[in-house]
Amino acid sequence: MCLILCEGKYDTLFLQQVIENSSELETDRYTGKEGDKLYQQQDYMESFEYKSEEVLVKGESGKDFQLQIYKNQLLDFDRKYNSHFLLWDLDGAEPENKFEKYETHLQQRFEAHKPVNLEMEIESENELFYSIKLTGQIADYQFETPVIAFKTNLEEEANINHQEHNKEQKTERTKELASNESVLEFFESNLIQEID
Amino acid sequence: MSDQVENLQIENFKAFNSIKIEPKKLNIITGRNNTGKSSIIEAVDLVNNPSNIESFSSHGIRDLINLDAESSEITLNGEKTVKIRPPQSFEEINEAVGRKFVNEYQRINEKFDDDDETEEVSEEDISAIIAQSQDLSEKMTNKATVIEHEEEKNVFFDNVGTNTRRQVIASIIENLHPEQADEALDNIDRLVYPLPWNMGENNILDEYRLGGHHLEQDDTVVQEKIEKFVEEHELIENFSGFRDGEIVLEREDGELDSLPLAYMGDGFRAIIGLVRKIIVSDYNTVLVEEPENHLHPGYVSELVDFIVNQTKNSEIQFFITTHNADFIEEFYEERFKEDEDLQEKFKLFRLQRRGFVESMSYEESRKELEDLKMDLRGNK
Repeated sequence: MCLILCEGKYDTLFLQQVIENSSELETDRYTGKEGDKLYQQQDYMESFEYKSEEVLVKGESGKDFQLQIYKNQLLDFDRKYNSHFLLWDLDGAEPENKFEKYETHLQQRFEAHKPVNLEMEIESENELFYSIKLTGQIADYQFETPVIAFKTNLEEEANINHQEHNKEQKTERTKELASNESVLEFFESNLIQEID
Repeated sequence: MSDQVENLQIENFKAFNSIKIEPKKLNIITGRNNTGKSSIIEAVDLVNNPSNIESFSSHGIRDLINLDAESSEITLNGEKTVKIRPPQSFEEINEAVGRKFVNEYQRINEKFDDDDETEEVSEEDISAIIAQSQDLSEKMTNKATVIEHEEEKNVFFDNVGTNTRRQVIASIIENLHPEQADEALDNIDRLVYPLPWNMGENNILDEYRLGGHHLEQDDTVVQEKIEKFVEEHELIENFSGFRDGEIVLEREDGELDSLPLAYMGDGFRAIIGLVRKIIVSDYNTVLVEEPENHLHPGYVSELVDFIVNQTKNSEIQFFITTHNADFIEEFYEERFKEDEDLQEKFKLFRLQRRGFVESMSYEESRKELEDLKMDLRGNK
């Protein structure tokens, strides 16, 4: 199974829609799950319901939860999933800022295994996204995490205003962005083709 | 133990390849079975008391060395180191086996001696004993492990069976006390059983349930402290105190009843036993394995209060292993939410598979409480 960790509800919907719209990934065995507390993730990862899925898009309830679950699950990624990805919202900041936050948190969490090395490389970009690769090592455990990052965030790119738009409008705008040709092309080249 | 542990470097000890932890005053070590929780507190104990090594492994002391390595090393605060390694030569083993013989010989001498004063073992006797031990040394080659500690070196042996000990003792008696051999050999079991070769007793508190004999040993000050704890935490109703190793309860009519401690439940005896052990010991470092065992949830809460109180108001540094989610959760209860002193002194280590250790501050571990609980209860 491939795991894609997102930050929020509409990110999850967006990625599901990208997968659905893509002709590169011929599977209907994908699902999206949003909003659970991070600890519940383990529950459904292990549950029969999702075991047969090829892709699981998991939305966390915000940036901090995404980072927490990344820290908690990192050592298990190689055991549980064939591949894993992160979807970030950079909110207009440089990718280095987000990277430094991840690096600091991992160094604190695994301080018993100093030095914890994490490196970031921007592999490609277009107007809306960066494709980033995080590589790291904790003791003898080496890991590699591909990331697709919105340069801003989904709400801004899909013109979603949480105060003004209702649920249906937000869903519609999210789906619209996911069907954009250049968006699809970017995800196919940088994520979908990599799904193992 | 005297040193507070500011950092502990563990190299190739049991499941750990190489870790360096930086504990605080209250250290909770959690994780599933076989992730190495006990290994951390064993490492702390070992670097302070290397001779405790004999009590750490029922399978073999050499098993304490990580499978991928030749030797283990544990370093406390960057200066105090204990190294565990196999012997480098047969002489190293033979000398140590010989010393065991000498110890047996001294003990047997004491048994045979009518005088109160024990004779010094002569150099000649020692040489003879070491020479005699050659055969046994060969048998012991794979059972010996060397501990190097502060320029001292000791060789320890895995459990030595009764038959081997019987052979050793018989051989000493026949060779060195031939005149008393017949009588002694008739009673050889009396010499074999009272004192096993491996007497290691670690300082990890895992058996401390209170018994009447403990209270009889304790002085008034200790007993008063324990009584105060029982009263303050309202552990039992109508508690009046301890007397002659029994618990005294006050009846409704004001009369006093005495009950043997054995009548009290395991939970009560465990919590009081642990509190007593901490009160009577002068340890600066307390190592406790799963203190919540046997405890009713109400007692768990009282125990946590006691530990927190000791953390904040004494010199004691705690290392506590647990895989009980309720025990861990108790540290994040509302009453500690604003307790900055506790939060500053608290650290949680979660042990993961393959010898990985995660370090979490109070705040971080509080945020991940549900995940910790799921980890301990679920099928991660």
